Amino acid sequence: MRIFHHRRVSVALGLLFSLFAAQAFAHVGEGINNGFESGFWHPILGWDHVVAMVAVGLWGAFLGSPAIFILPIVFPLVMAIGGALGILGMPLPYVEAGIALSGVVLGLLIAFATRAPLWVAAVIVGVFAIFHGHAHGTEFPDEFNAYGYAIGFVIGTGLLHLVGIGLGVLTKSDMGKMAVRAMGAIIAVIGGAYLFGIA
Amino acid sequence: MPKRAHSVPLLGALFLSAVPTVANAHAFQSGLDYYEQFLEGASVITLYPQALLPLMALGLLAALWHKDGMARCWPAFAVGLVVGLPLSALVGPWVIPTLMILGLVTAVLAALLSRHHPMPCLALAFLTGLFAMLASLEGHGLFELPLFIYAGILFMANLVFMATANLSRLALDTFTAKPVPIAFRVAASWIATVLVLFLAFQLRGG
Repeated sequence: MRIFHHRRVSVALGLLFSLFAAQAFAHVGEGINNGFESGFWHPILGWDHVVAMVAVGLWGAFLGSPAIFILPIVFPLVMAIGGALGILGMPLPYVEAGIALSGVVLGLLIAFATRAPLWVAAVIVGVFAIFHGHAHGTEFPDEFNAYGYAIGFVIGTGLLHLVGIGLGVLTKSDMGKMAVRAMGAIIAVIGGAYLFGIA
Repeated sequence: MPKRAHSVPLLGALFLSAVPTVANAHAFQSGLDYYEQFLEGASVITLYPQALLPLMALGLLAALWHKDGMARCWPAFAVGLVVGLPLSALVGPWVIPTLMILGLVTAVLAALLSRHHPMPCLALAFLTGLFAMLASLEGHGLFELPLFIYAGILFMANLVFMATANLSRLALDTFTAKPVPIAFRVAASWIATVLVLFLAFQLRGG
């Protein structure tokens, strides 16, 4: 009787959820009908991008000044070069693996509270930025306004960095440091899930 | 001697007429009233991010360079705009990517350097003014267009540069917290990023 009751609840819930079925908007910007929106949501709706962008801000906050602003400045600049390569149709190997690896590496760097010299941090962030940019460039939907897409994509990415920096303010306290390091571990796990095809 | 004096402008005119380029930039409409001509000129700057962003980048650089950065850069910028007026007949479509590259250099300098030397700032002010005018009038000869279109371009180019520089400087002087200049440098990096992507779209023909 009890099992029967559970089955009925499951069927009812299934029906209810099917009523809320929505189109998959994630990542490619499909269904978004103008360039700015498409570009804006593109980095935000792809979790592999989100964790890496937030990680850049978090690691910058962990490293302190001047890394806290140098890294979020370097990342979009280099990412734009990757984006330009993608827009121009120049192939780059292992893009998806590079994006997933960025989550793993940056997450671990935060989790272990690694204090790299500024130039090393900038090079690490810059290398991964090329993969992220390339993915955004190749996935640009031709039917949308290119200029709106570029502006939206830069603002979306920048806001994710700001979220990371904002969360990084927690590093001012010991408890906050632990929390940020835990976030780094979670980012590494998410990156790993993408790297091994689980996510 | 007077013969020679006449031959210089004649040769100059011949040279200018020998290198005509197709006026394929902004297809300005004729027959509008003065106000609409003015607005049309102004919209060449405001509606084209390829021209707007380099001017904003220059404004940010001037504000980050010096307290009076705008006032110091403006003469060079204005000279650049005026020099660009007669030269616009000589340029082709290459002038727009050139302006974007100039804007990119300006934005990268504003984003990455915490201190700026006067010479690069003044040189970039002159070049941005020059190329902003060349790109706005690309291929159109001097006085080929109604006067108020030129007035609109001059007005809006100055307004964008001055407004960006002055508003940024006002914020920098009013809010003295450490993150404020950083925010403006981040904004400059965003402009540089957008310009790189625009350049890629331009090269792809999009």
